[in-house]
Amino acid sequence: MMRKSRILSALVVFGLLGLSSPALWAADAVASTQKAPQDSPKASIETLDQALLQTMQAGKAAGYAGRYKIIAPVLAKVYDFEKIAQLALGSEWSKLSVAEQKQFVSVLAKYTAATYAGRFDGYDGEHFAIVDTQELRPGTMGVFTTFTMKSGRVHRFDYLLEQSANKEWRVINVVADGVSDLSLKRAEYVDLLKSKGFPALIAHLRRQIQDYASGAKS
Amino acid sequence: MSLGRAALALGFAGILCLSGCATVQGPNGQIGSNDPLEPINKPIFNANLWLFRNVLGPINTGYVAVTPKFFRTSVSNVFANADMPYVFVNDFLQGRVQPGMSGLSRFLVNTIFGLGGIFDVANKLDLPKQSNNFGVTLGVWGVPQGPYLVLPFYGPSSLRNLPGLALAIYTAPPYYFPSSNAQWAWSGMGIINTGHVDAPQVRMVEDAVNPYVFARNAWEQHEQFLIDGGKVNKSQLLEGLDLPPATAATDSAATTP
Repeated sequence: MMRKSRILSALVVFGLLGLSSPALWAADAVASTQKAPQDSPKASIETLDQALLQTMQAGKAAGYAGRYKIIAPVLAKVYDFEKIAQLALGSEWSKLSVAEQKQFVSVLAKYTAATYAGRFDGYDGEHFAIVDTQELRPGTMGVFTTFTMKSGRVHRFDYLLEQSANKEWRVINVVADGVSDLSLKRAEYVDLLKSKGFPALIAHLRRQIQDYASGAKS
Repeated sequence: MSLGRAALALGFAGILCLSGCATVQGPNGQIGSNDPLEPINKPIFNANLWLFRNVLGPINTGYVAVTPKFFRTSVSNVFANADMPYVFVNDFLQGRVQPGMSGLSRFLVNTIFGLGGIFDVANKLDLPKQSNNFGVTLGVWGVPQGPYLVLPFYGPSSLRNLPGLALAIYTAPPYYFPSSNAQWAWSGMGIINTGHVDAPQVRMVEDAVNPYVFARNAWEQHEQFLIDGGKVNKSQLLEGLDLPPATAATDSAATTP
């Protein structure tokens, strides 16, 4: 009984979602020991995973501000928040003024960092592993990873990266145990934009950031 | 026995499933594409959230305050182990022999050497925890999801998942307990454990811009992920990339946190 699938930690991980993974995948989840060349999609995810581990290991002793300081610069480097913002808002994006677009990108970046800093607040033997990389189409790569918890539960984190104009590979979507962050964001944000307008969307994200910073969500 | 009682307990605990199960958005991203019962689902969803916030949440707070971590971990291990028959039976029904054997082995190892599941010995033998349910099995067999449902005291589900609730009851150990007192004790502890284990997920749902849409979307995507054997396909990863291009560009400096 008590049967339910868990979107769990996955959600926990991005501040979005979470679940469990089949043994089939777990069997393939062998940690990569070879360093990827710099500026490769794999290197970007390795950088992200390393920062996440550092954030978790810093834990409660570092406080929210300390964890934010570790993870925020890495997210700014590895995530393409501008592209994520455009994709998340879909056709609504072009209806915003340039100033609103800039504001949304900035708040989205801060919200993402706050989510990570707020939720990755402890380390209990978890580890990441990159299990595969694959070109999905020219200029777009998939990096497939696992996140193994101390309990043995294995979660999948699959990243979609695009190569930017300056040849850097940056994340534009994360799929955690089959749940697409971009898809969730698009459904929610577009709905709120249409029903309550841009100020309500910004206000919601800022409230979440404030809750993380104040410890209300810890 | 108490099929009804077990069902109630199962359902009650499923409040947490709010975050763990499936979702709202269709494969192409349309909101509410498979949710014709939203006018009924939404009030039930809000009632479930209210119950969690005002009943299970406070119970969990008390549980954490009065029990040591190793106790809570052991309780969680026991219930996870008790779930395993339902998991591996569905693996076999789906024709997935390797995961099924892994789940069966995990159950036997933890039951025998882990003292009924108190200790997660199987984890050290590379027999990881998995998720599965009969709704997934029916999905593998080609049965369409049907309308999205939010069940009272349970959370996200679908027409296809309803038969699985009965199967879950029959494969759970308490159904075979000789004493109804033991069944009640098990069910009560199960509710507390579920409230504890799923609290972070529920919090995430509550934090969403639109919790109802978030929970539905996540549930449906995850259910499809399980049906696909725990693999994400290319189209899902690429989904949304072909939206109309933006007409205005932003300053990249805005990405600085």
